[in-house]
Amino acid sequence: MNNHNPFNKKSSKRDEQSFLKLFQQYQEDIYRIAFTYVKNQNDTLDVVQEVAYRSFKKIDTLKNPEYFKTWLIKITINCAIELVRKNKKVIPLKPEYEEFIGSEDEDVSLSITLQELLEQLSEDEKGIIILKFYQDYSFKEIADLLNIPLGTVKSVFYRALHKLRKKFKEDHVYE
Amino acid sequence: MNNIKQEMEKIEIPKELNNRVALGVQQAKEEKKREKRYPRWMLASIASVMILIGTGYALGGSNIVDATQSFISQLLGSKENFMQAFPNESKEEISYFERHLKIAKENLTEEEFNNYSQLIKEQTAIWSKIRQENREPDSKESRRLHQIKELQRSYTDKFKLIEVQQYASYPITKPTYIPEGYKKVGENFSIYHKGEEPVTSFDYSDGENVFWTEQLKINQTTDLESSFHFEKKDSYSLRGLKFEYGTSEELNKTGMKVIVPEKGYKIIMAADILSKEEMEKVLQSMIER
Repeated sequence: MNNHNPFNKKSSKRDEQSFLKLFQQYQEDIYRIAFTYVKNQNDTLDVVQEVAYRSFKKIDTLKNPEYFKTWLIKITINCAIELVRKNKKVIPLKPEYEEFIGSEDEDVSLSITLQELLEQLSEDEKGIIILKFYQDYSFKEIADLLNIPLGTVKSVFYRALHKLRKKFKEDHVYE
Repeated sequence: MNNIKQEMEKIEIPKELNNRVALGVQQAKEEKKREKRYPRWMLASIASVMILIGTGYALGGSNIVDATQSFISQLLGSKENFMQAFPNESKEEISYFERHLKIAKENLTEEEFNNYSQLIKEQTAIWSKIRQENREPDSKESRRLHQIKELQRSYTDKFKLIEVQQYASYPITKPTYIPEGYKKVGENFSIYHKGEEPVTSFDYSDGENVFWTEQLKINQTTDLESSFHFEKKDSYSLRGLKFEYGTSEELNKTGMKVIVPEKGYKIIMAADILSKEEMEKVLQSMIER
């Protein structure tokens, strides 16, 4: 009984502290990822708080500690999207994904500004671009993390790139 | 190459970040503590909960299996259909489900019971399909299963006290005296360990402070009870019953316990700010004599 006593002050205090320490390693990444979705400081702080809340609450369900960061990012994206939708009060329709038939070459280049990242991309595109370029995840890892098929990840990714490059070109034309 | 990393670094990190993270963790910690006191395994929503947790808990007294076998069969065509959807259920759990259906039928109107049955049928059909395909529910199914559970609860709420009582050897009672400004905000009926009887708890709040009661068989114990050092504090007799009054540093609450030997139960109560006299009044209102 004592081993599992939830009121064991010392152990719960220790759990909390080691969790916080771990979480703090990633909190800036979490903040920045969330920011790209909700685009203002107050809402972003709300999202981060919610991520801390949900992750500490569910930490027991994380089977592989090595996926802690990935798991946090997943929660972050979910929370951020939830907040965006709540604020909009509309649920956007899922775009029809075209079957991916593009190149397998993952070494693609991209030059965009933060503004473009925030403004030009849809939520699904944003997530994939950030995970790919900011967090260096592979397509396969992104597919697992976002729970969508690999083909979809790639087609959305290339669609996003296309969009950004097109935008980039347009900007130059009018310069 | 890409410049996203540099661009992302332009997002400034506010000073409050640390605080907000700590706040989130703190909230979760409080809730976790509370949930441990109130395990979610609620008797009343057995039909759905059983399915979620699979085995692990079982109740004694499966003497009614044969007599009521027909309930599952009537509802789902055959017991096999049920087993296909929920292959991990133990004998005890099946008999428990039988008993649950019987109580539902006895206590709901015909229309309510039909609606409730329909929900169980749908739930079984969804699980059956998932099991056959040997996979986890997809997001659409999860959503529907969750909805079904909520809808089922609206029916099971109508008879859950009656149902819980069947598993308790002591009379389950509710406080009839509630201190001014307090309202009931929750109730829970849990069996903590296999073979034990339910622990009944009721939560009350005035919006700021809370108190709650836990009623259970004399020889059982709960985390709530063990978090108080009752004996070290004040032990006294009131109207022929043994009362104990204590505090819990961990919970930062005062507690009271009363034992009612002739009925075989005890009640533990914890409160934020109630006076000793108020707590006595609440407990006395629960005691049938």
